[in-house]
Amino acid sequence: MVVVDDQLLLALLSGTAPRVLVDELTTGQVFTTGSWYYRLGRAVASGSDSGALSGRFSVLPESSRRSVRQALDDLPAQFGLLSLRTLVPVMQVIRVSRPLNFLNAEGIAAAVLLDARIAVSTESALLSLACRELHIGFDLMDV
Amino acid sequence: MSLQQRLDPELALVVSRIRKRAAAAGELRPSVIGEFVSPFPLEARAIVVDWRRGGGYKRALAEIGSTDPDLAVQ
Repeated sequence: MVVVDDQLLLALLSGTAPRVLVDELTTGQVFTTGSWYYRLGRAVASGSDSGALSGRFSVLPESSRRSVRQALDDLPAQFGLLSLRTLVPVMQVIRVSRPLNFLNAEGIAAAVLLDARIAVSTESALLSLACRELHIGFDLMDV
Repeated sequence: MSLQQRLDPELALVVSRIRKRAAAAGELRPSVIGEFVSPFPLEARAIVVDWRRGGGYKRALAEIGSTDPDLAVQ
């Protein structure tokens, strides 16, 4: 089981992810979090029109844009996503040496509950440290 | 040794209780298990790869993190 960050989620949604993640998705082993899913939506829209990913999609035909939009707006059911009702009680009792922001606390709580590793595409010193302290597997993946 | 056995007792207790509840609600598995076929056409995939390789994602995260610390890379 693996909890993936926003960029790996985009890679899976767009069919550009590493094979190992695709295989895990096929067998129902991939989760993400609400914060990473939300940040993906923000990242796609951020920047100027020409710099934003959403702006770059404007060159696509309407039907292609619709397919892309739908995949980003409605997380496909093959991706697991835990509710905050489930995660918050665990987030409240996580004790690590450096305070975590909401994004990372949610990721850690999801991994603990699922007995999963965390896979990210962006170096994150505090998240990596928290994983070590709680014995959670941590993968930094290049996409 | 499972992760739960290595957790501190307070966290392990909460995890055990919440995991049972989440399992009963069907939250611990995705609702659909099977092959996922990306709806992104080839041109859209190329745009994503190009944006990522050009540092687009990194810039986006820096922009988001500068205004929203709870979504920042720590």
